[in-house]
Amino acid sequence: MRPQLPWRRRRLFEQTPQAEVDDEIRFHVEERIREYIARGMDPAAARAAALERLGDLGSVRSECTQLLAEDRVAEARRDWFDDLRQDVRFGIRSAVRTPLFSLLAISTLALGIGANAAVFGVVKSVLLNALPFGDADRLLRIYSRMEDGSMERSSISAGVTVDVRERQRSFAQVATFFQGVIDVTYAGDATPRVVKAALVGEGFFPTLRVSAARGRTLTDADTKTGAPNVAMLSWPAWQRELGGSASAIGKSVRIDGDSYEIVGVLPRGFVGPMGAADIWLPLDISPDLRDPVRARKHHWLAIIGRLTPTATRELAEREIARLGADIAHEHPESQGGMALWAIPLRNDMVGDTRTPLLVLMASAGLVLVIACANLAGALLSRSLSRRKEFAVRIALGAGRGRLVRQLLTESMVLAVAGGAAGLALATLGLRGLRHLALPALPAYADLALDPVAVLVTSAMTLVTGVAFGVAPALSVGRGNTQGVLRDETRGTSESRPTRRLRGLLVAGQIALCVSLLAGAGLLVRSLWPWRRHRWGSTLTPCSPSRSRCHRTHTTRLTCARASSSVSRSVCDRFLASPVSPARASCHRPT
Amino acid sequence: MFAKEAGLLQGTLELLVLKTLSWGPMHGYGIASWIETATDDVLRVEEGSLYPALYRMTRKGWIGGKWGTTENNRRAKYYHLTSEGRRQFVEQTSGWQRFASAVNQAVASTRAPSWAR
Repeated sequence: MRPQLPWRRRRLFEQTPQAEVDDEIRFHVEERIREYIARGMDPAAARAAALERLGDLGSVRSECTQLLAEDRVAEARRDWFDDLRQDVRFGIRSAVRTPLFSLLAISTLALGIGANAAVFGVVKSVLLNALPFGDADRLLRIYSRMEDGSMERSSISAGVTVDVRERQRSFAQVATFFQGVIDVTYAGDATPRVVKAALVGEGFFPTLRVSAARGRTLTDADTKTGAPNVAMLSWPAWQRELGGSASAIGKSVRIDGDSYEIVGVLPRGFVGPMGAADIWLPLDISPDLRDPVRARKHHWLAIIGRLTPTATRELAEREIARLGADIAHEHPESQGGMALWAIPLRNDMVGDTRTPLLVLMASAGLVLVIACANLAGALLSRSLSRRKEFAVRIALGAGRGRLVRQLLTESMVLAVAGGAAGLALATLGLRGLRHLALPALPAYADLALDPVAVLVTSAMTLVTGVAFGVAPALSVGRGNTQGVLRDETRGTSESRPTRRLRGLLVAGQIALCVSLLAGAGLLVRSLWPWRRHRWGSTLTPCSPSRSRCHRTHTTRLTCARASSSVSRSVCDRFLASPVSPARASCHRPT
Repeated sequence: MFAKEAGLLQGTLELLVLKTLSWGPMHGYGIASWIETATDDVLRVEEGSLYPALYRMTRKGWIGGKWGTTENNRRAKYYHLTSEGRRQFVEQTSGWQRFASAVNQAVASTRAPSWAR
């Protein structure tokens, strides 16, 4: 095939489709006339015969013109892709020719993009992903609090849970459960081991709108005194302990020495408001209610309510506060100085992560912007040193548009490589974060690089490529070819405009570095409180007295449950352990 | 349909164009003349459909067009076969031969069917 001119050049010599078709048909008609004349017709008759033979000239012309125009468009597109392929090949070659620069560019980008993708992965799994409950935005958690400010998120006594359940009007459903998880010994087929158990009372699963992945969920009937011993398994526990087999339903296992029937498995990814647990047991609070002292003075339960379709969050919060005041008034000996308050379950479980995470994301975005700006600067200074090359190419007939396009392609090649490296970095970073930060993040957060994060990152990569390709490209477009060729011959010093541009660049770099430092300082400042503060209701409180308090709740719980015999042995062990005297610390001083 | 000066079916016209160009590059007028000569003036090319057919075949990538000069030093658009066109030519020729011999066999048959006996 003979070599083809670049398409812009070829277009110059090409006629419009209409003119080309006309030329072709004119040639045909004239040949035909010549033939007829040669056969002895007179010219006028020959012309008429030739035209007649062609048929409907107008429709032939328009059909051919349209076909030719379509063909031209398709050809232009093919040429465009050919040029692109050529540019990309050239871009890769020039990137390989300057390995140090390319490495710098790619690693800078990889850091910026990787940090962004990793942080976005965290933000998405914590803030954007829904809680593992149905219509979670209509769930409220109810806490009690000491009015002297000593306790902010305290648990509630069995008596008060019943009061709240009976008197409230804002909630369609109310769930009662033990606020933490306890250790129990579990013996399935293998040797007994210690696992985490959650204890859930009346209305728990319907309120959260969670249904079983296999079998059924625990019902209110299961929580009644004297009901048969039943249990649910979490998805991971089902996989781990029973190999995910369907025969797990109806299987009998021993928990703390007693036999329990497994009635269901919870969905994958389900985490309760009390945190992750392996086994879910029904909680019977009636023994506590029967004991007048325990009913009011032992604060160990938690409540979650689902708003009725008509109730608003503010309404419910006001109602709960009023209810708390009423109860405190009625039972001054056990509830005096205590108030009830409600908080959206999402805020409770996500806790204070929202603001710091958004700050972290903004900071990561800033890092990316700075990385881009740095790269644009580096590319600009490189294109300054390549000005002569560009001037020569323009002098040899390369179009400015073509040069700009090629520079853009070069930076896109770097950006795509940087983006790929960044994604790899983000995957590694998230894996590291999963180990480091899991205790600090809400229990349901599943840190993973999800498709949206990848998509957002790819978009960022493209924008970055265009953004830092434009600056050097524009500087090429402006250049005065002759001046450059004259000024920047080998050995002469920089011309004044070049020097000014370089000075601007250095100033810009310093400004960006200062803002990076300031940004990093702010980031550390905003993360500093995280160091000490841990959040989310899934964590046990940290102060020594409160953690003792928590264990005492466990003891209480196992004692309360003792009538249906969860664990007399655990109860005994707790009562015998040195922490049991501290039990008094979680009761209101009377 | 098969009267003495019959027009051409669309697919047949394309095959004949491919055949013409298999001899070498030619302009539209030359293609029409050659088909008429080669069929001893039995087939007459509808010129109104020849040119749209040429453009359509260009669009399909079977043939390409380039401007050149004739022996009389006149500008004309010469068409040539592309490699895809050559492949089409081989394929369509054998297809046509199967079709023509099948029709021929049926038309020339002397054995009456059972219901005519």
